[in-house]
Amino acid sequence: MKKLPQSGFTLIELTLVLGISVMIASTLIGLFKAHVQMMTKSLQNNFVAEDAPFIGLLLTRTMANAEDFRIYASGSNARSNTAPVLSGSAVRLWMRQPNSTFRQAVISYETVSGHAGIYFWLTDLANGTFATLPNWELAGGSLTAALFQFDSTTLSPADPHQGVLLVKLTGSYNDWYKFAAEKK
Amino acid sequence: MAVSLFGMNTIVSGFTMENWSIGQSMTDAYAGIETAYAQRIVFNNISSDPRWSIFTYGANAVGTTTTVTIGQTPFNTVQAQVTRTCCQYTLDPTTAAYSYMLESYVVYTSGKRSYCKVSKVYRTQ
Repeated sequence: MKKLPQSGFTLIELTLVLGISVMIASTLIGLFKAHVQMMTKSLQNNFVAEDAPFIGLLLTRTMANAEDFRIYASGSNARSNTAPVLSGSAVRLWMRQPNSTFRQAVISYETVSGHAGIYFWLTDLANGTFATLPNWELAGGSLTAALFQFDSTTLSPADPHQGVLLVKLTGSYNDWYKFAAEKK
Repeated sequence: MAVSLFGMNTIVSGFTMENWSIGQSMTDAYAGIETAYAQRIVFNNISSDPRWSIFTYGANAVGTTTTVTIGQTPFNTVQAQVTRTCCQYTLDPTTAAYSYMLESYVVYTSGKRSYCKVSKVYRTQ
């Protein structure tokens, strides 16, 4: 009797291949998950890694040009020059012009047209008043608060720096960055 | 597998570097606060301010070190060590004026690496 040649794989071979495939797949899935987690963390870091230092530089440069400043609880208070405080979300600047007069500006964290951010308001050269809309938006996006503080009671309670204008920028994940917005 | 591990390693390194650069940036900002404060502090109060302990120029340096919070990331609080020293120069023979060099060393440490930003402010009468 003629014996037919056998083809295909044995059960042991199939089990082995299947086992190795499962191992590789689970490793890859684990790696992919870790990759996604790391990418998410990296994205969450964006505010303190990229945005905040840049906003800090912008604010420091702008505020360092001012001869004088006052802090206010809100942007509207700052524009109407009402009730200056030692800690608030807006600062009014007095900028000296080449003709020795002062032009005033306000930097405030507030919501304008439904969008929260740091806005720059500049008085009109002709009549010295502020327009109803800001001149520029300096920062927005993941910025959720900006606090200007002169007495440092809450910004540096353990290590106070009285008499220095400190600014604290807060991001979406309660992350924050603080700096001195003064001439160096 | 090797490619995946390499990719993973690269991402982890990138994330570590990002945290390192955040720490550096916050350290720089805190040194800026130190500079602003050293420029602002009332001159007559420098010698009595416990923040900067005075040592005579040329003698062994004496400093005070404080741990401060310099910022917050979405995942952890960032802290640094601030060491402050103050060098008091001898009286100027002509003007009889005192002068001080206020120094702050802000050191951020992550693992075995440390980053130091120095703030030096010279104040004179």
